[in-house]
Amino acid sequence: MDVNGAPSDAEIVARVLAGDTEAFGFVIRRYEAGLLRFATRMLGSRDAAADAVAEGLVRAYRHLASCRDPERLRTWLYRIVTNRCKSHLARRSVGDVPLDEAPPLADPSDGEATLERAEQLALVQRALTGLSPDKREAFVLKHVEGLSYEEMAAITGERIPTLKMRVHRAREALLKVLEEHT
Amino acid sequence: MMAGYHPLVKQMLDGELSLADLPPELRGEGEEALRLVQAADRAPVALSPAVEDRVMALVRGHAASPARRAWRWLHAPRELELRLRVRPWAVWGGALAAAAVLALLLSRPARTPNSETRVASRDSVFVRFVLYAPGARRVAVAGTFNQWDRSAAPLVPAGTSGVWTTTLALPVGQYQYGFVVDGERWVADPAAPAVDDGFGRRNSLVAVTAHGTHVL
Repeated sequence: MDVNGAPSDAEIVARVLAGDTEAFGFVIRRYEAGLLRFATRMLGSRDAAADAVAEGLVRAYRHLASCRDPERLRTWLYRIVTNRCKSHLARRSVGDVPLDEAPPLADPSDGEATLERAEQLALVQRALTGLSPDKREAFVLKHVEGLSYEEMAAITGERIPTLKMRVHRAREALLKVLEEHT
Repeated sequence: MMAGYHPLVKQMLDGELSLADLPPELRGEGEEALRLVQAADRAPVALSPAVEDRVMALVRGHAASPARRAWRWLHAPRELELRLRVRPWAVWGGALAAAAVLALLLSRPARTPNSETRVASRDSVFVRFVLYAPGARRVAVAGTFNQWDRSAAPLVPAGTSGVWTTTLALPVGQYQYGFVVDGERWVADPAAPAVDDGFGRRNSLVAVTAHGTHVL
């Protein structure tokens, strides 16, 4: 139990493995938002992201006994959903990333700062979809999900220097796009 | 167009330095870099109620499958309450019979245990785990038999040869496991078959039967 009385990840895993199927709902409600945001940024489509997250969660349930470290369930789930996203991307042609999840356009009656922010969000999102999946994944995990490089290494199976290089290159590519539009 | 961020600015973006740690001449570049990463959209996406419904429907269907129910019935521990009404002479008679059986068993010559496995009880078997890990500071074995607890089953070094071993009494069944070297590095057992855990890592496999271990 944590200080708020919510069961810990390890307790939830133990309950599910003991046959309490409904306890898996805790896992979904606890991690769905972050996983959906990550998958949406990766795939550029809310529908595709919902598919990837749903497939990943079902897969996680079926393989729950293989989860070596239930205290780090979040990392494990991101790893599964990352793999589902890669499978979705592999089925598409290169660069074919829909943009139906682009940030909403600002209302012209909004203030200048709001308009500028909305424009910047749209630009960065468009630039993100132009990155290779590896660089996009590294950037989103680092700067959208706010994960540490250690967590990213556990999720992606890549070495930390490789991930740092991908994040640097992604940032520079985004910088280039932003500079071209200013 | 700038060629790329200064290495110190990169360190700041990686969370290794703060803006205040940068020398004054790099603060402007640092602030600009922070604006870039802050431009990434961190807003939560709208949750789709369909995701939880879809997942839970599949999960419930999987849990309700006959094979799954049978496995849980066989595998889950349960409490049994046994009520007996006996006469005193039956208690004494039973105790004498049990003592006779015990004496008969103890009088039999002991079997030499196999170096890898030997029977621990009717339902569990001693299984010896061995890993060659020269230079390791500590080694443990974790798997489905101990809920992947990295500290539950440490191996001990066999002298200075780099070989680490431990022997566990495992109930009959099939298990996935791995060795944990120095508390963090997972190593599959090179002497056992392995299976992909579904996420790109390898879990070793062992099948424990009343007659010892078997390669799957």
